[in-house]
Amino acid sequence: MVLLMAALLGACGEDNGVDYCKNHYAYHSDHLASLGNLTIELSDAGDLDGNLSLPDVVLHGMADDDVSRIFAGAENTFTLQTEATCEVGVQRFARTAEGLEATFEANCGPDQKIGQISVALFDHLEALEELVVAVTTPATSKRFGISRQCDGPIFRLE
Amino acid sequence: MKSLFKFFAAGQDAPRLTDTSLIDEQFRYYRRNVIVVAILCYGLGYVCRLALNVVKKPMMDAGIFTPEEMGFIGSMLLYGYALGKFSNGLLADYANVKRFFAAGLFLSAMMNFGMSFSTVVWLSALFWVLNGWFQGFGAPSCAVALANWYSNNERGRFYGLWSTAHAIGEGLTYLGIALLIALPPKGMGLPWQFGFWVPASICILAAVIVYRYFPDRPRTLGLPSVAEWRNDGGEKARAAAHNAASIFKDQLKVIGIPSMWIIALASSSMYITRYAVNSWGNVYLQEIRGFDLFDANFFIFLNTAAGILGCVAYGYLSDKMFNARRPPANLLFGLMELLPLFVIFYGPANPTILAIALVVYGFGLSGILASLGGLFALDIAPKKVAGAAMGFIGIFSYIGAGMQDYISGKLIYDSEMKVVFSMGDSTATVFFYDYSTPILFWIGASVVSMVLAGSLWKVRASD
Repeated sequence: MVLLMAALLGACGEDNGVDYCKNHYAYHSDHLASLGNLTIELSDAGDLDGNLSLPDVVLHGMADDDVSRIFAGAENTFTLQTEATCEVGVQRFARTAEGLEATFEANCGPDQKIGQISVALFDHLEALEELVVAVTTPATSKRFGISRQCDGPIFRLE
Repeated sequence: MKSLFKFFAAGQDAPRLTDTSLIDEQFRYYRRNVIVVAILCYGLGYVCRLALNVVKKPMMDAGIFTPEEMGFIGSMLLYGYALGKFSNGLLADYANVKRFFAAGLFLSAMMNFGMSFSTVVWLSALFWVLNGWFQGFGAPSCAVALANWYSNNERGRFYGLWSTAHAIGEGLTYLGIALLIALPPKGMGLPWQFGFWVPASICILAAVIVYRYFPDRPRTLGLPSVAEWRNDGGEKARAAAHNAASIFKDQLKVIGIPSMWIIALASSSMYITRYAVNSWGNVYLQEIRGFDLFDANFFIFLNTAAGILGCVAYGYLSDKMFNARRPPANLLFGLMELLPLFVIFYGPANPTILAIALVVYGFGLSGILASLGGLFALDIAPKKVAGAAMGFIGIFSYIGAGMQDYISGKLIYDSEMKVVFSMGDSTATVFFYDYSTPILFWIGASVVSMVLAGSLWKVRASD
């Protein structure tokens, strides 16, 4: 019965996209150069620090003005849903020959719960195929990949 | 309805066989079937009870249910089981246990199938409360079969053997189901639905085995009672002395014993910790400690495996070292249960240290549970209403366990933080939780249990 169900599921389901996402660890090392990297750190004091680095291939063909327009507004990159009004710090970004480095800061105050961090980078950077994300909270830390080709996060990268 | 009751009712007594060699042969055959099938199929039945614990994290990651919803659904099984402990115990006394047990396994399998297709909270909760009730068919059926096929002076040994079945089932679930769901190379990386389908298939197989090989009472097969066959005089005399009216009076006495209420509350508190670790421990190890699904479930398996030794060691040590006084042994095993919790939740992430802590915790927990969930209560209760005493403690214990599942889920959900990546029409979400408050609740429950059990330091066994 189990084998039958497995066969049925196999026959109905897995297209190449799903297979790519499920077995992503097998391909991941081949495309490291084209990935964006995002780290988000949340502290007990309510500080949020975000660091983003994107390879030039992601920005390829984009004029500096377009890049500035995207990264000048926090709503294009990070937005927070919190119980408190967070003090949003200055976002810095710099475009170099290698790509782009950006930082984002916010302080929501101690004991203020951040309910959600929304990341809109994929909406604004069409060439961004995959982002490797590391998030550290006071309780835990997770590292995962977000790919345009996959419905959910990829927890096994290597 | 009448025909349904008739189907499940114990069979009529058959004409008594007269050939003693045939009687001996039949007894040997059926007694072997009873113990083998009871251990094997009660153990296999456990996978249909615990499957949700293993697939909890993949379901949460997929955004199907929040931790609070998971806790609510999980608590339903425990409430259903608590109800089943009471109602099915009464029903099993009148039932053809082979049909009763097989039906419980089959219906439990159906509930697991149902769970795999449900993404609606109330429907999943309905499946799971019914699953808890159907799961409750197993233990009384096995207890009745052991009582019918093994006489008083040998039943303890066989009961002890049967008691190991739950560890087999837990091991099979935490390792076997994890193997199916965990990502390669440790696991097969199958979708979470297989975490219900495979247990359901296993339970259907177990139901078939029970239906084929588990016997009804000896007298329905033309055999004498086991006490007659083994010439176990003590049991025959006790059976003759039993009288329904006096039993009921003694059963009522159980709720009038203050110590029994304290033990019930202590057991209930200990069940909070027990089921917290069993239900949420593997999720905690994945979420906070960063272990993968297979390793996290392997750690939980270690605690259940150590539990087999803990049960045996508690009985031996409390009898031999403390002259059958349970409170000193309760303190010893309680500390062995409590102290490793600090290592598990606040200690280093070193896998070896964590494994040792979980083994010691499982060992201590099983010992203290053997006492609070049974032995200590049996010491205090009138002996001929041991069943009522166990039922009283059992209901409290599972209500505590059920409340725990919802409260834990709620506390975990309250700490939720999401990182949401939007990609046009679709989004990918990663969830983050903080277990600090639930951990205080789980450890606090153990402390309360130890204090309550310690308050009975001077209590002595009755008759």
